[in-house]
Amino acid sequence: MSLKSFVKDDLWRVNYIYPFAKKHLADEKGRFDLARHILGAYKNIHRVKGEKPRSVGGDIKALLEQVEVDIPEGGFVYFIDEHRTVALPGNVFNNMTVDYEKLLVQGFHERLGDAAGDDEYGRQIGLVAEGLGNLAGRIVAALKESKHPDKEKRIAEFENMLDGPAKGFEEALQRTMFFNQVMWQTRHRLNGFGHMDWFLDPYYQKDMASGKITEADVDRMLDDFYRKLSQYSYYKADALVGDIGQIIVLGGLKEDGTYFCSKLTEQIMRAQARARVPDPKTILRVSAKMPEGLMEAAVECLESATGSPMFANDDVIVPLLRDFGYEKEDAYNYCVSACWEPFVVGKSFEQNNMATYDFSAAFDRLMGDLDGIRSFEDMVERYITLNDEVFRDFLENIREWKWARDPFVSFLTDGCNDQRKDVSEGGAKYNSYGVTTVALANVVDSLLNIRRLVFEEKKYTLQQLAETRKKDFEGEESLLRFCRENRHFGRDDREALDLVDRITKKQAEVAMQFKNKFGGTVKFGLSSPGYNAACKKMPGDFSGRKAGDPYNTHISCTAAGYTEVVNFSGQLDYGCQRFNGNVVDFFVSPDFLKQNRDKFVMFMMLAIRQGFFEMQMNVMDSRTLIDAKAHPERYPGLIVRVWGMSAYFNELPESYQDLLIERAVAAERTK
Amino acid sequence: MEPGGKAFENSVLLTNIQRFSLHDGPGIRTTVFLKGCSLRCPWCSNPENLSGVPQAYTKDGLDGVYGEYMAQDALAEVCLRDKGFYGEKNGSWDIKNAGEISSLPGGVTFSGGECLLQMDRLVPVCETLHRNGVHIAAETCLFVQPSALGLAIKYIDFFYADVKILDETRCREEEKGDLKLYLSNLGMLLDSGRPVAIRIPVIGGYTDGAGDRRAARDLMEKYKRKILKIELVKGHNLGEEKYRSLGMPVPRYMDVDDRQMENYREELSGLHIPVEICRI
Ligand code: SF4
Repeated sequence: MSLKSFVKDDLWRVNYIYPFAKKHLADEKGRFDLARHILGAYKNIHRVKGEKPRSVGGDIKALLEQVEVDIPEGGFVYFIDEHRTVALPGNVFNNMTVDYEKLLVQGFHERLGDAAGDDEYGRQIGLVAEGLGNLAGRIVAALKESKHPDKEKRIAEFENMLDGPAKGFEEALQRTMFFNQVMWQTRHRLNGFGHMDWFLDPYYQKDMASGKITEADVDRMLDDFYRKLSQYSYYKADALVGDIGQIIVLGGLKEDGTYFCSKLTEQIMRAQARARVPDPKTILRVSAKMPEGLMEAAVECLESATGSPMFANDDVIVPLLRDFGYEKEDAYNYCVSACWEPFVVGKSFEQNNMATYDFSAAFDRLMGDLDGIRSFEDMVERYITLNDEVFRDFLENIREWKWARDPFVSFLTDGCNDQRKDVSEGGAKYNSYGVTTVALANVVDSLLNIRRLVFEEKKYTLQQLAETRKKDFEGEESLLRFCRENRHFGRDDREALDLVDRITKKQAEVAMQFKNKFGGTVKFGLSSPGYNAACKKMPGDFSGRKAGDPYNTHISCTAAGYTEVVNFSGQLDYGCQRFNGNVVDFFVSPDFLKQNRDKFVMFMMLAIRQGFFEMQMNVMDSRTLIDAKAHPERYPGLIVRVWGMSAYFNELPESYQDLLIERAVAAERTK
Repeated sequence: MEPGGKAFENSVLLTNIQRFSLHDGPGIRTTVFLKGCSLRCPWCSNPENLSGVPQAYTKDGLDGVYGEYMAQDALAEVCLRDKGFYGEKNGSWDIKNAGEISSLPGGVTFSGGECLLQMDRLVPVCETLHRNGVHIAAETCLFVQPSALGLAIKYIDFFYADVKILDETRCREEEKGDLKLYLSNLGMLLDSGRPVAIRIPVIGGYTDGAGDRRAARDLMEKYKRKILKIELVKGHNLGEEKYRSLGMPVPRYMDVDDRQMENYREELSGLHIPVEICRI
């Protein structure tokens, strides 16, 4: 075991501030600043320890008993005590959504009846239950003392919090928020909300039909929901400020093949647009079967420029999940991890964003191992062989990750209660890992450009190119320009498509052989938050990238128009475990969207049929971004899409700002 | 080899193919800009599409050529790449009123220059596109041989036809056009029953005078039952850089303000043809 993984896995009890300081690793302000933040976090955040002998359940119980209760002036009760946390042994299950629905249809205690027992498993969840009971009780007491205008209603909801099913829409929403708060408080990161319009719809329909609530009431509640959930962003943020992961999944195909959405779906999307916050965020599951009116509402929401919704194409994703082996019902019910990786809520221990694989690493080795390469074919073969090796090593590093026990999540995950086995020990129904990848576009462009320069036009030898790369293209500006002007990935380029499929297919064979310690395997996809991080230490390549420049963003091509990139993405093969998030990423100028809304809706509906996997958009023009960089004070609310997250432009590190500007300029040029 | 010689027989001279085009007809389209024009409008914003042969240019210190001979089958192949985005319409494409335009599918639009100058070479492209169910539109100034227009009427599903200077002398002197030919072509096109939208560029000092407007109005009146809609198009100077790159003087003309455009629309309102004001 490497020292790094030892520190990561086993020193969590000491290293409990890591999640709170992690964002500063990426903020490019240097080590001194990072150290300052780490010290600040230690000063600010106290770990709460349970009674001896220590256990995760005991620590959580103590934490929930000690967190400070904070009753708002009105609306839903939602708070996080930012100064208290638990220090757990091992990695905490994160980047996922807990199954809130189970806690709505049945009270926590009712469910506990099925799961309680004298064994360690039962004891742990029993301890969590005591903590929850204490917290809910203290909230009731505080409400009684408070001037909250709806306190009777809130008190009733909290008195019923653990006992019976939720009695209506408002209570269901309050309960979802409460357990979300508990997830955050107990150190889980990147907590999604799951399929909210689906699991809240029965309550919504019933209360609407009976006249208990109106659309205006729901708007008010959702506005409050967004307001409250967007607080504590400093505490919640992960790798960058704004990387919070409270994703709400909307719409989608049901198991009977029909598309399901409701008035609530649209109301949530409108609330998202009104809130103008980067997080919570929404992803809309789309299908050729969806009503066009819903797509219109989605495009309207896009115009509010929060980066939401992003789109996941059920017509492509559901069959892939079925092929992988998810049961039919589970495949149709998929949600996503914090960004975009398909995730089955309430049934899986799938850690889908464990690490970022860099396709450039093998390219880097290739450039130092050119002997005997006589043809393009030789070169591709060598790259693929090297890539297999690098990928195998990479997977070895994640195989042994150690997970902290997680009684609360286990309690809500199918398989655990029956087997009396914690999720961290493989108790869930599905147990695969997932990784994201970067730089495949750069590698493919490089290989195809080398082919032309070396094997077709014979302008350079391979060695000469390797030397040029070492010198970071010094004195070779025209070569760099050639590379920048000859892009292949993301275009109508059969050879690029074939090369992508060839490389990923071989890599998928390695992935399929991988088994983690729970018997699961590993999935990967072609989109990753890491495109602007992993690149920093990597020399340039022949996609026109100089040393340290960002890699290509997800599935995009600055030289290609929308239809071209969608066609490209629709023809890629995502089968054999290659479905861990594959996102087409666009810039669209706000004016363009406003002036062409009808045709944009048409474009989206037709794009679904072309088979894109997922899609996200930055609705932003370059002028605004350039101005915002120069005058941040004028743009306090400017939100941009960064990876699977949206963030305030002003809070981004400079290299991210520059990359966004560059891509916006390129998008306006191709349009 | 001279253009027009054997090697060029099966090819089309074009300067650009723009995909995901949203302003050149119904739906999402691929617009093909063909090189060569029969007119010389003083306000033209496509100087690279005037001459019917490839032309060298210099821009930002880099040399290039406007114009490429593209084989017909290659052109059809590119036009079919976005077929999935064109959509479909069951039933006839020969629509009778403007409200139906949005029900038409996207497809391919030939523009220019004057695309009908190469109509005979476009026929095989059109045949391939039609075999694939693709809708075809053309933007034309109508200053072409009637035989070319005849072919177009056979193969093109939707027309944008220009109305420009309608005074015979000024048309000849300022645009280098033969108004009689134009008027007879316009009649031929509108009588054919193909869907036609009229585009009127409103250019200060050229087509915006009271006399110009009246002449346009009278002409529209004559054919009012055969015209789907009228688009009043404001001039723009997007072509400036291209003029410079070709070493040609940049044309200057007066701006027409929004109020004048509105007035023009008013004047046409009695015709009961929908009138749109388009700004680029
Ligand atoms: S008809 Fe069009 S392309 Fe030809 S000169 Fe006039 S404006 Fe230019």
